[in-house]
Amino acid sequence: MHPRAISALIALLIQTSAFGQVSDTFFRGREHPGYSFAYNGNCWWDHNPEFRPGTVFYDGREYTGYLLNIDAHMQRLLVKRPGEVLPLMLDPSLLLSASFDGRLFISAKATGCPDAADGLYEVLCDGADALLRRVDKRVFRDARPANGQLIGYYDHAYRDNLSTYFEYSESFFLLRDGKLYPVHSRSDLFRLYSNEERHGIKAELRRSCRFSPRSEKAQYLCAAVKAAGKGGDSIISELSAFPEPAERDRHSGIYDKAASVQASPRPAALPEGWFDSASGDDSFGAGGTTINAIYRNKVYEIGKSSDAPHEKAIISGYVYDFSDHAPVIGAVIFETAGGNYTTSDELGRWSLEMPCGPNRIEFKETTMEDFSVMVEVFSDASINVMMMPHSEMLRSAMISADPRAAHRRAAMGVESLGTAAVGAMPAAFGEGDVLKAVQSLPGVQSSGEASSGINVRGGSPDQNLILLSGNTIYNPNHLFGIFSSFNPDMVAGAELYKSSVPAEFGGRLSSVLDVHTKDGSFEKLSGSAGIGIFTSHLFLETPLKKGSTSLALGARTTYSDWILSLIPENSGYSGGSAGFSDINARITHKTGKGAIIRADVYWSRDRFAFAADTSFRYSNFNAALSLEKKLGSGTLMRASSGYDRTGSGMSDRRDSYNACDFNTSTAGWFGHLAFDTDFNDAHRFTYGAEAIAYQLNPGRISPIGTESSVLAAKLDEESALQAALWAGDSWTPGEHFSIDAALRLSAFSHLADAKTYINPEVRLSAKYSPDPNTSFKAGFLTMTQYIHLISNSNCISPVDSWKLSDADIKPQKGWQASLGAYRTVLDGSVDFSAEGYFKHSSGYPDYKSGAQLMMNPNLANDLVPTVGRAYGIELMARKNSGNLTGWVSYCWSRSKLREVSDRGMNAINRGEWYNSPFDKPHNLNISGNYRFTHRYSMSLAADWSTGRPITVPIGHYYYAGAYRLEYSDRNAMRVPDYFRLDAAVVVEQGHNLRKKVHFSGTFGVYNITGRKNAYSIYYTSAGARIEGHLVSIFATPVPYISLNMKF
Amino acid sequence: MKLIRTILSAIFAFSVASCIYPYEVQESASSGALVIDGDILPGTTCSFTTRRVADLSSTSLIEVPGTISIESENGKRWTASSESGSAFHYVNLEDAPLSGRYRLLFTCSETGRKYCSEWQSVSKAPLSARIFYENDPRNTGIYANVNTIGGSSYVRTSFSETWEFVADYMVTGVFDAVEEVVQTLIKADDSNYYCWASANPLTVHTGTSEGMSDSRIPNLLITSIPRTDKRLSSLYRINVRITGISREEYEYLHNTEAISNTDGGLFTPTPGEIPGNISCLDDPSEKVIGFIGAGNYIEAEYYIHRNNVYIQPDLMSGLFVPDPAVSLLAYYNAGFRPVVDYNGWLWGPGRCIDCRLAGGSKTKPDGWPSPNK
Repeated sequence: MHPRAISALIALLIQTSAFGQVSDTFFRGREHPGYSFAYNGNCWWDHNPEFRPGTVFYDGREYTGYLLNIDAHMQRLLVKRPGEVLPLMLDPSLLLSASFDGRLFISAKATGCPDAADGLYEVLCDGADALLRRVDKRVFRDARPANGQLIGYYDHAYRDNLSTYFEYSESFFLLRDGKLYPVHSRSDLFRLYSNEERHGIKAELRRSCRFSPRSEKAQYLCAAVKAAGKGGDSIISELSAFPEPAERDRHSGIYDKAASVQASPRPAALPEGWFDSASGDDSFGAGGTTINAIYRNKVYEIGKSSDAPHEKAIISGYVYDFSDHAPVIGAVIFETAGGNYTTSDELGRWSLEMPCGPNRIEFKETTMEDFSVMVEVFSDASINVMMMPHSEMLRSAMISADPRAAHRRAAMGVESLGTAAVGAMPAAFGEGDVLKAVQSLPGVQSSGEASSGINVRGGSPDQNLILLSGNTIYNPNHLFGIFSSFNPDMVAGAELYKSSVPAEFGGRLSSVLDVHTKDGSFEKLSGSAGIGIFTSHLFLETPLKKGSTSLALGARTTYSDWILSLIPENSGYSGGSAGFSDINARITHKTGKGAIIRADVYWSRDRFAFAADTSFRYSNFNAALSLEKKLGSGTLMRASSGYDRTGSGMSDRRDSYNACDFNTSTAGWFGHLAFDTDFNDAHRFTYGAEAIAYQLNPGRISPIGTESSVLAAKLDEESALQAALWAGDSWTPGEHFSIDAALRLSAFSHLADAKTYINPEVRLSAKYSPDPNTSFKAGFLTMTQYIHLISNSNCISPVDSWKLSDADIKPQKGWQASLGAYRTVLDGSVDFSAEGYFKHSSGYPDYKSGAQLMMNPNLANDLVPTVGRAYGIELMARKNSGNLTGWVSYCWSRSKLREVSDRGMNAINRGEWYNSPFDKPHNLNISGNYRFTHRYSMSLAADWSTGRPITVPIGHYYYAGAYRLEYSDRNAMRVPDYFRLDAAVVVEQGHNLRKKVHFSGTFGVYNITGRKNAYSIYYTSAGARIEGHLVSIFATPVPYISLNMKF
Repeated sequence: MKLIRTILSAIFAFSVASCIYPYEVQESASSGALVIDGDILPGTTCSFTTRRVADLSSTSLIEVPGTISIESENGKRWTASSESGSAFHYVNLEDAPLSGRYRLLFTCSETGRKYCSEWQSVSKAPLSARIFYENDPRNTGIYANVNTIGGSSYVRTSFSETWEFVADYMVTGVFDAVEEVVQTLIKADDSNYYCWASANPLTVHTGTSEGMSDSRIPNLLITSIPRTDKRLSSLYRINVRITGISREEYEYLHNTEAISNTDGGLFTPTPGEIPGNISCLDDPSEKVIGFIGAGNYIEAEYYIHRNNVYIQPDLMSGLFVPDPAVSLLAYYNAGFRPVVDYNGWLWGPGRCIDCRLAGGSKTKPDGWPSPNK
């Protein structure tokens, strides 16, 4: 094995991770499974990034003359030869000690104590006893995956994958009599000695020690240990007496050994002879029979140049996954000179005949970043490469990454979804959808078949704050709710907060859905496009200025009109049309001063008509400019400002006399400023402020044409200011406990009514985690909502309008208390969770029977205030890793309302408690994905829930010339239970390197069983006979195909 | 491309075309609430009915006998004349002035309970009304509409209709039962060709001028008639009564109509009853259905001639050549008649040549404008 080649391999791992560069302290890529480090804003190195000469005792041998350095957590020792740029990381299991710069480090093994932790200890002083210092990594705080805003991290691939990061703290130990004693304070130290010894130590300290036991703890303790061990022999010197390994390594240098160790995390995955095939030639990368290719811009000489010239040579090797050293199966290896290619087998092994001479070998695999290496081929030889996981796969790991993260945070009721989790779920017409994925989570229910509206823990759809990169999306539906407003191409991930809502979010009673847009690539132009039954989509990402400015652009459109025109006339939809378009764009700029500036724009427009003469439309427009910057003293600042608008309308041209156009709109300018300050080990403060200036057009109607008798009218516009201040602390008093507490003060002023509301809100959550796999949590929060969607239809209608709180319509208020228990088993691969909650709300404006909601200047007269209560238990089991992933969730919940007014017997259900429209007591969701190979996977989703409450006829009578229906109490009955089973097969893109464009596809069936789930039920009178009708949106199995290409 | 289009069309049509299915009505006991139907119409004789809500499975109406009277604000009372045990009540209010307020009182014979409506002012009828018709969008029928001007902003309409219609064929041959042959007439017999019929559909519609630039209520639908309907086969007359009503009554009627004929659409409001204006004096918590309004009305009349409106259906359908194995007398005795000589007599049901057998009457209404007999 060529030692320099091996060192280069290891250097790749380091170089790719970028911690070899002093100027860049950021880790690029997924955290190495065998190596966990943290970044908290400090230099990655311990004290000094410079490598210094030192000595290493490694695998039973002593090495001198190397340059050494150690990371901030003292978990990895790095070495390099003088004159080399790239360091080598040593395996701690073989490292016994290292000394450099006057400092001595010993491994846990070297302490001789069985209970010593892994990693290195710094020997601060030694004598009869030794004082050791150890740096412990621990969870610094939970980062927010996908958006990275709390992290201040600038590499989008990293941000997408990051779920947690860490900080370090130092602790001290006394190595005495072969045991390791933790020393937190001087009293701990003194307790380890007898009274006589203690008196002696204290006397010596009083005499000679000038250090403070608090501010100069290490020096003080060291002086104490020295005082105690005065005259003793150094126990550290015993390290040299450790027995030699039974079998000495036959290689000549530390680099060889380190390289072989590098493979140790998955030794079974590495082929025999991986490192042993080296020729022993010391020249870097040249003349050996095997090299490990590292650089893209270096020409590797493979084969022996001294051999007789050949025309062709057989080059073979292995392809490994950098993240876990597993063989990469099915990677395509393509040599450009001869145009030959092959694929790697199950061991990652490949072999390819190619012409001798200059060549370039490309390695491609769908889950890996493309890699190519320039070579000069002389004769038969081997070349091995490690490929980096593809950024998309990094994102796909989100839902499974760090399965124990939930145990470390106090927040509960937080669900994170990555793009892969979304994409893996079967969806109508083949397009993965964030909102559909959210609906499969416990406690979240759909507003109706083919509806993107969600009900979280018994709340109404408008009680969910839906954010897209900070912008409020008032109408998240497309095409009757079959699609959501979130273009899957542009979504980096999403979090749903249904219990512990961060204090920076407010203004809604039930939940916050925070959807993050992805940054464009800073490196190269790439994109994707797809076509389905209803929609087609295009996504492009490109650097505008390489390395600093990028653009991401996504667009979708429909061509559904021609399909609707094929529907039979008697379907009731004849002559209809429907369609939507939307565009997302994001420009991201990284300044030289460590700030990120983002500009986001989202635009969408929907139109549909059930008949040629009545058409509906609605639109969204959102724009925001945001700045993210890390300030000094561990403070991260996020500032954003923007504009949100939604508008809807209807045109009625059924006859010229009544032809009219109706429209309504809701808009708001907002500003948001948030800070996160890491105060110390135990406290992290969050604080900030936000303001929203609302401008609502409740309704405007105008005549169409000169014959129309419709009077142009406009309801008074509404204006209001909403502001909030918040401050909170995440307190971690100990390893097992953490508490999040925050106070939010919201104020709302309706300008026309001169009515102001001020409401304090509390957010509390606490966690007790007896072990890293178990946690118990409790939470309490209060919320206030000042804007309400007024609706009396089955699903959100385009003519539904938002209404601000005013003198007549009070704000909605609510509180929620919740408890949860969480357990992770099977090495993090399976999670169990159980959460219970109780919610109380007041001020939810329900409508009176027969209410006129459109163009009603006295809308408050048709609304009644209610109080509500919702409670339930949510159970979930989730498998996070392996070929089979998915979850099973069950939720039992109730949601009830009661009118509080003075209407007496005319009150809804006479003022008694009634089921809210969102009350579905039982809900079972099963979602699974099985990956057969890297290319083929299959997903299955089942959803069963109790039917939603409805109001149905219970009698009939003759009145005003016809039979009329008498209805039950509101929501007293239910539609039949809902059940749906979906399946999809996903074929990922192929490996043919000759093609610039790669295709993938999704083939599935929505509602396999063809169950006629009730969207609504209604009744008609046919004389004295009453006929019931069930409306089902997808009443039969719906096969779908979605084809996508990536370039 | 064509194949793909076909496949996609099939997929979509398969999944969406049949999205409304029959649903078995959930049986549940009705409230059995009292329903009082009718309006106070000063200056005329008005009618009221008193019934109860029936279970959905019931096809008969439950009548509630009792005594109804109308009371004016100044204490004058008009009592209904109704047969003992009947649910139909007629109150002569010809001497009742349009000014003032009125209410209805009802005493139930079965329970003895007393019911009372809220005081209602008399809503003004429109100043004028004009009836017209227009083709429906598919041109398969016509809409009879009315435009009103003035009066109350809210109206309810009811209508009656009378029509002159014709049999499918004039009689050009008669069956000689003795000879068992069909005798051709020298001159067609039209004695049973023209008939008249009438109906009071009781269908109530409501309209409002709210939101309009003036007090007009345009295009208020009265009824729709298919172009092939016999009513349009000669001359059709519609008489519309437009009664002024209050906003509250309008909302009540509008909601009652809406919740009884929902379409279950995506954006259909969830049905819900709104309270009427009748309450039980003995038990205010008792549910009573109905809204007793007070108003006056105007009537408008309109004729629609068959020209450009009527589409004659395929008259040949239903006609047949008699089976020679069966005697013509047997056909005749079974009600069939010779209808038209079409290279031999075609027979058909008697109503083809006798409008009386199609539900008509030979009694021509007074003042009917056509000369037909």
